[in-house]
Amino acid sequence: MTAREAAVVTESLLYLVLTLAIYALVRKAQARFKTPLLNPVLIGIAVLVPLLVALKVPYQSYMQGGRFINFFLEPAVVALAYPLYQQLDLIRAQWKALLSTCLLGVLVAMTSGLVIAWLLGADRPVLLSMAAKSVTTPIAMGVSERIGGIASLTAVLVLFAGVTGAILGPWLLTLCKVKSPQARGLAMGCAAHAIGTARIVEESAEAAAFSSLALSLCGIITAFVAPLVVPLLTEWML
Amino acid sequence: MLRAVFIIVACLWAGKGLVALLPVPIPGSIIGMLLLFLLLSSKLVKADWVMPFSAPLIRHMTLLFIPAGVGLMNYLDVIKAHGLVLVGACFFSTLLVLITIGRWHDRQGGRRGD
Repeated sequence: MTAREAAVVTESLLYLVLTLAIYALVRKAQARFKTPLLNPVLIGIAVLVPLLVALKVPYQSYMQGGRFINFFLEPAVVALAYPLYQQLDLIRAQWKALLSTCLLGVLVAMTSGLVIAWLLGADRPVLLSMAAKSVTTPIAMGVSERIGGIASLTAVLVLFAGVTGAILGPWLLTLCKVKSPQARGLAMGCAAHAIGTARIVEESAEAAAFSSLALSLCGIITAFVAPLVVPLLTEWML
Repeated sequence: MLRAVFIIVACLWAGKGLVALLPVPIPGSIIGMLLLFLLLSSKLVKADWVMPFSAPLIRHMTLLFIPAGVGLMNYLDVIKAHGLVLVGACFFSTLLVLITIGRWHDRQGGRRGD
């Protein structure tokens, strides 16, 4: 190994360890202080982005280490079938209500994002990038591209919606007197996709199951509905 | 543990394979999740078989989003240009979905907590 290669490996390991350390510290702090601001994704971004930008480290260099974590993201989505399965009987008994709730969630998420951005004076590409912000990143980016948005911008919005939902969601739902774990889970999955699901896992297995159900159902519904509905809406707006 | 890893990875790959054949932008991981769900529901795969890998993945899911989230640094200029509109619309739309769905389903399910 040349000295240059060794430096790259050391640097990658450093980013990997740094990311793991931030996560471990936030989790430890979570156990002691009950504030939603202690979100590992939020703190991770808030610490790492300014640090990397200040040190002029490109994202690709960080991902040399980060990819070892990122690699598990897709298997984790598959693994969500397990909490889903644990609620099989409940899902069987309520599939109609679940489907209608998710369809409503998708329509509210898409149209409200578009309308609010439109009222704030967004231009066309930004508007279109907003439509799929409430579903999980890979679907959102595919949908955004398909309807003429900027996929990378949609990815940022997905993250923002996820973090917003993960931080304010449980508090807002309690404020609105939404107590049943099912409704809380569905709301988190519909509004904040996987990041919201990761947050609601801490509440109960039932909420987590309904959240991952909403995440997958809303993702699929959005993939089918957005290319039909969004062009009509934006045509009318612009 | 090995069996658990194998089943989950096999579902993921099968999902990705299926998605390559479909004309809709659905990610392979979602189809893989539905496949695993079907396998578990039909008892072809026992829940205990996937537990050793799925449990830690789910428990530490927030960790897995940090590297992808840091990718935000690539879009700082877009965020600077449209920051307020994006943040405002995304923020209020997300809260609106939370309230609508939470209230709607709570009422519909007849399980209101108040």
